[in-house]
This record gives sequence, structure tokens and C-alpha cells, in this order.
Amino acid sequence: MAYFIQLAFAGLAQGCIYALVALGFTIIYKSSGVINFAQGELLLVGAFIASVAAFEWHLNFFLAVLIAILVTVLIGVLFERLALRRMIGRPVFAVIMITIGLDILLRTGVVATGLSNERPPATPYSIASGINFGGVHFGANEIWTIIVTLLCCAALYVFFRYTRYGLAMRATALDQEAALAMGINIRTTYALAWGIAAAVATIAGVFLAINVTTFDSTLGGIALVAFPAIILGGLDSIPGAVVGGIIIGLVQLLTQGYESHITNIVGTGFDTITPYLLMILLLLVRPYGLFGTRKVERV
Amino acid sequence: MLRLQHLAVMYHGTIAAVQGVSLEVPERGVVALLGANGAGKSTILRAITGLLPLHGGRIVQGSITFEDQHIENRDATQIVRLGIAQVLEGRRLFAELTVDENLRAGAFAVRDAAAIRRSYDRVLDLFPVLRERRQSAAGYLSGGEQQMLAIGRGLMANPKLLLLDEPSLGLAPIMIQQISAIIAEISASGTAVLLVEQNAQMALSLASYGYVLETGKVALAKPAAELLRDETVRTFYLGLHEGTDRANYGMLRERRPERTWSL
Repeated sequence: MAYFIQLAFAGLAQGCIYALVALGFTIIYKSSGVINFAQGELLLVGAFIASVAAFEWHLNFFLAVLIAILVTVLIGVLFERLALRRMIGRPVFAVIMITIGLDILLRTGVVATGLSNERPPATPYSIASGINFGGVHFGANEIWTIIVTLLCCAALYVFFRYTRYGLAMRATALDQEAALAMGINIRTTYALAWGIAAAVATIAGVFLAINVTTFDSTLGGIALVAFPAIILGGLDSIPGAVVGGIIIGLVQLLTQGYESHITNIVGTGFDTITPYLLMILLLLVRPYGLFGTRKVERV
Repeated sequence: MLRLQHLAVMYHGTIAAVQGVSLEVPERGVVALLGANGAGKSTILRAITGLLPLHGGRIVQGSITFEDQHIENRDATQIVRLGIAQVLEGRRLFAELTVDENLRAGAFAVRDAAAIRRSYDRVLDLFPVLRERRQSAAGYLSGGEQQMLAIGRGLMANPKLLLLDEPSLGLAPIMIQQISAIIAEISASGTAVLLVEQNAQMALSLASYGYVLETGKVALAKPAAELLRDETVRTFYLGLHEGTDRANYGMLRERRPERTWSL
């Protein structure tokens, strides 16, 4: 039982990281219909800058994270302003290719600094610290990942529900022209979406980096696992992104923990494909994901 | 108050939707803009409110002035702030948001909280049915209520000029009467109205002046009372034709029923 709880706890924390990445995908997709393939590299850049600020510039952890968030938000907003804005009305495919371009640019940018190998993560607590309870080790990083993810979700909920710009973003997502006719500045809502996505990506990046103890320029690959999470939750649903992320995290870690019992059937490394398997299975039954909008069409 | 001079609009640089239209809306009263589908009515509204770029359209000639300011190059947000609000054709509510949220979204361009509260009270006084349904999703309202909400959302910006695009579309005759009465009330309270309609009967009963558009040009521009007596208008827009000859329906542009793609 303790083993199960240990795995479920780690899975929940891992799922929270997926959830944060998935949130970024979903917020950008909802507001502008763009699937941002650079989401993972925003996470890498965030974790990288936090680490550089903490170890090369000897800054306090919180200051380092703050700088990392500011820089990634700036990258997201500038990218939206300089590249994507010119693409409004162009084929979605072309827009997606541009985000892949940004992905490559960011990753090579990090490599080009020459500091990206074996990076220690910026962290306010020692990586092994935590509390033991009933034979289960609750790692400090896992606990904080879960708490901060919950706080992020709560903050986003308040933002979308109660603020003027949150309402503007929801309205724009539902009907762009009607929102524009109301005087809602669609460009501002796009920029906000990119800013929020970049900020949550950085937060996810900082926790993920602590979790893997040292990281390099491949850290952003996690976005590939967060992708099944958004498909699972339904591409355009924000609660769906969180639920999808947590499910993927739990399933992945539980498979990892128990797969030694079934190696003779599935072989090793089965856990790496479980997110995709889950996604394919769900798509067979519910093509719109768990919470996605079902488009009703009459032909 | 609003003046269009020799306005020409093209879509994607090739399709001339509006060709040299001049029209005027005074500070008080209702002006009707009539015409068949594709005559360019909605294009004119988009040109006024800065929505053309979204549709790949561009003003290629002419000018639009509002209270003596040129607005043809302003963006949609600035135009709403100047005091022009548009109620789009087909209502276009944010179906998943509540009535309350739809109204608040309508006031996005207004920065003054007290002004928003005043508009909010005014709208709910004008449409008491909406007061009871403030917390329900806009998509669940009846057609008439949805039109009321769409107009109410437009009024939340506290406009000096309200542009209404086909408010009678898809409504039962009794609802059309109710909406007419509301438009009259809005006009009486001092807001100028530019009313785009295919329902010429309704539009001309409210308006003091009317323009008839045909393929992007103004075919007729007369006081509403004269338009109601005009032979062409009676035949083709009101469906009233005295005399034994059958109307020459060949002249009437083909009206295709709108295709429904979604529920």
C-alpha cells in the first residue's frame, strides 16, 4: 500500500507539471486557435534562465524565478507581436510551422550559450528533502509542485471569471468578431494568452528541473507528453487540461512502478508509451476528449 | 452626425462590395438602410465600425466622418470609444457566457465604473425579462430574448449612435413588434439609430429617412414616408403591388435562403 501511495503521490506531482504545460497549450489554442509547438522550449528557457540566474549570477532563488518568468513572458509576447500577428487569417498549418521555428530557435539559443550541459536546477530546498509519513516519502519538491499548481489554477480561475480582461479573453475565444465589435482589443487578448502560457511554462520548468536533478537542452521534450494530456482533456478546455495532465502523470508513474511485474509481456520502458496509448484509446471512444467542445454540424 | 462620402469597399482586393455610397445619419432619429442580400448593407456597417480587416476588406475610396472626425482608419476599439456601437447580424451572443457576462463584455470599452452601472441599470429597465435571467447562459434564451440581449449588449457601451443589423431576423411577428417598440424607445431617449433591414415594412415605420441599396450603390434615398409610397419599394421590398400586371420578378435579385451549417 505504501508503495502504491508513493507512486500515486509522485504521479500526481508529475501530472501537475504536465497540467501546467497543458494549460499553456490550451490557453493559447482557445484564444487564437494556434497550437503552440514551442511550449516545451518556453519551459526549457524558463528553467535555464532560473538556473543561470541562481548559479552564474548568484541571485536569490525567488529573484531568479521572477527573472525567468519575465524573460519568457517577454519572449511569448514579442513572438506573438512580431511573428504571429502577421499570420492572422493565414492557414493554421503555416502558423504551426512558425511555432516549430520558434521551438528550434529557443532550443539552439539555449545550447549556443554554452551553459546548457548538466545544469543544476535553481532550488530553494535541498532536492532530497521532504517528510516521511507511514513509510512514504513525501518529497518537498513534489509537495510544492502540487501546491503551486493548485495556486496557479485558482489564480487563473479568478482571472477568467472575475476580471475585465479575463472576460474579454473568454468572449474573444467564443466569437472574435462580436468581441471586436464590443471594442475588445483582440491583440491584447492574444498577448495576454501568450504571456500567461509562458509564465506557467516557466513555473513547470523550474519544478521539472528540480525533479530531474540535472537537466540539459532536452528538458522541453516533456511537452510531447503534455500533448496527450490536452487531447485527453479536450483541446479547448482549461479544466480538461488540468485533469488530463494529472491522469497522464498518474498512469505513467503507476505503470513505471508496476511494470516489473509484467516485463515478460510488455517489455521494459512501457511507461513511456502509456500516455499516447491512453490518448488513442480515449479518442476512439470520445473524439472530443473528456471536456472538449462537441461541434454539432448539420449537413 | 455620421457621414459617408463616396465610400467604396473591396474584399481581398478584387470584389467591389460597395461602390461610391454616400449617406448621412442625423443626431436624432432612425435612418433605415434597405436592400436585398448581398447589396452591401453589412459591408457598410463593417466599414463604419472598423470590422473590415477581419473579413479581408478595405476602404479603397471615400471617407467616413463621425462628429466631424475622420474614422475610416481607426480601429474597432477607438470607434466604440467615440460612441458607435454595432449589433451584429444574427445576434452573435457569447452563448456560453451568462446574460450578465454578455452585458459586462459589452461595456469593455467603457472605463468608468459608475457609467457602466448606469448603462447596466438602463438596459435592465429597458428589458425587464433579462433581469430575471441574469445568471443563465445566453444560449438558452429564446430568440426574442437573445435579440434583446444583443441590443442591450450594444447599449452597454453607452453609444451616441447604434447600428442595428437585421434585428428582426428569424423572429416571430409579435417579437418583431416588440423589438420595433424598443428601437423607437432607444431613439426617443436620444441615441441615433442606423437600422439595416430586409423587413422594409418594419424599418420604414420606424425611420424618418431611408436608403435603398442595390449591388453596392444607393438606388434610392428619400424620406421614409416617400419610400413607403414609392412604386419600386412597394413592389420589391414591401410585396405590395396594385394593378393587373404581374411584377417583373426578373428584376428582383435572386434571394437564396440562408444555409444552416450548425444548430
